[in-house]
Amino acid sequence: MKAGRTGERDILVAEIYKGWDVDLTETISRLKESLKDVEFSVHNFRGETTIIVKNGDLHKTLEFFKNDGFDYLVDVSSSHYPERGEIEVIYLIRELKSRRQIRVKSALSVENPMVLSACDLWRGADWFEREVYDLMGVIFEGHPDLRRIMMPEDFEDFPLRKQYPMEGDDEWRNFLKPGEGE
Amino acid sequence: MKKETRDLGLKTQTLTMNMGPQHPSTHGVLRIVLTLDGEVVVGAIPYIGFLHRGIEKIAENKTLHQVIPYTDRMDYLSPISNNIGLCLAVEKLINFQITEKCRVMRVIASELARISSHLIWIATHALDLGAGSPYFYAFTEREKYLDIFDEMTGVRFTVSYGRIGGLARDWEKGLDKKILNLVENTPKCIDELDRLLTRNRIWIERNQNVGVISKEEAVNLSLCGPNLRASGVEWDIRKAYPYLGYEKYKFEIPVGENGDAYDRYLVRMEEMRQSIEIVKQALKDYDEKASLWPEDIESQKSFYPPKEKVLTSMEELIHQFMVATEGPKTPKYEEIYFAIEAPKGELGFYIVGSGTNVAHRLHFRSPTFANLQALPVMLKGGMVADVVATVASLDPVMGDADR
Repeated sequence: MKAGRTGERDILVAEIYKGWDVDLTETISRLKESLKDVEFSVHNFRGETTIIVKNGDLHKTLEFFKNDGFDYLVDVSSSHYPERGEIEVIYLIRELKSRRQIRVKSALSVENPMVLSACDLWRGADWFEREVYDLMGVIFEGHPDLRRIMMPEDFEDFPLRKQYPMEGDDEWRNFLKPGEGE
Repeated sequence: MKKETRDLGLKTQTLTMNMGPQHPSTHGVLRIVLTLDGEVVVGAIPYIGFLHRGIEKIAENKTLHQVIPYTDRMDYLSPISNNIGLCLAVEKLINFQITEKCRVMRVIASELARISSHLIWIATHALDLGAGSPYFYAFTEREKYLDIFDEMTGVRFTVSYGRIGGLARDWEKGLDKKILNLVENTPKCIDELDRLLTRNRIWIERNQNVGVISKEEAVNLSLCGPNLRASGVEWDIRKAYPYLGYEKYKFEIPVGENGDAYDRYLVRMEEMRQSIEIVKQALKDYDEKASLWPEDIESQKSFYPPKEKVLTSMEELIHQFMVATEGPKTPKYEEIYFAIEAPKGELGFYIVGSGTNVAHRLHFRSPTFANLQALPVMLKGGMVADVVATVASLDPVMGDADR
């Protein structure tokens, strides 16, 4: 195999990252059959499958996958898109036995980022969701213990949102400036 | 004589005790609030975030090459693994194929990082439980690994060795012989530790049936790495989703049965031996004469040229400048997740491209963060003296958890 840029030949990607693209067509057709009222779109990139659902259907979809055998929650993350005014919540789930792995995501509005918690499906979602709440400000309904985890408890802002400044006076809005309060 | 029992009107109540963040046995700045009923732990709440530096936020404002030194400071006991993990993730996003020599060098470097990280773990775990000697045996051995890293990367600790598309520099002549010599002698150290601990009465008493977590709970709580395997789940990213050609090498995945601290100890000890086997096999693939950098010009433009050439040739200097300023173009709003089996567990990178060389979003799925989540389940019902053993057996690194 020649080294270098592989362009758009996705076959090579499959060779390098063996096993990441376990066939998911059956799983997706099962999802289509069992959840008839859920609208979703499927996106494939570099052998990874993403299911995009509406906010209200996220928990229902995750519950289907949990019952379908996806027993391991790998990660919960989030991403802010200021031009669309949306925050995406991304769940990455996996079945250890068959190595199936799928990403389920949903876009929430920045004004009211509320979503149902997945803590009742996977207990491991607890801290991952707390992290998303802390840094991105997404509120998980039904979460047993939604507190800040990285930032101090009296912190008011959500640092991972794009408008949070990296420098300048505004950056200090949650903290005492050096020399203050001594 | 019959003992008289009477009600003295004394009440018992639970005691809330704070442990950390400056406690020496919490391996960094981990704070646990323990609720005690006498000597028994009835509740435990871990608090993290004391070492939060906002690496994810910083990564959104730096080029992907500039993020590499920050990954050193995440899991600071195995920086090479983190570097290589990030590079592999970015290469997946921009679809870049590394050379065979680079692949072999990355395998060897990350396995050496695993061994040195596990040596630190056994040293500190034993020290926490009051065994002083293993600390010195393990640290002496680890010092030899740091010497190899020094020769390999130029730095002992925070190495920043990975580069997107390759590695920072080629190995000096004869380094592969030194590595072979080192890994051939490491089993002696592991055997010594084995003799000191494995059948030691005190070690068994302090570790067996401590911090137990069942198979189902471990999977449900997203435990990862050696901690998951110690609970009896046969799961290793190197076997499940082989990267860097791990499917070519013969090695076994040690799996525990009881999910207690003793099993986690056994799993890690065996993992070190398996890593040595991988390094030995990979060294056979190492071809000193081959080039670390790809041959064709188009690919050479995409990442850092060798340092010697930068200092002597005009074209390479321009390449260097272009890579540093422009760097790899990531596809806009396309996302990937890539995970490696780091010494602590599954280290994942979730990257959203932005159309430039800066990631729109870079999220780290750090293994220690996921592992510490299981702490309340493990501690509940145990003795207060076992808290130290349980925390140490999870092998936490707070730089990794807090990011």
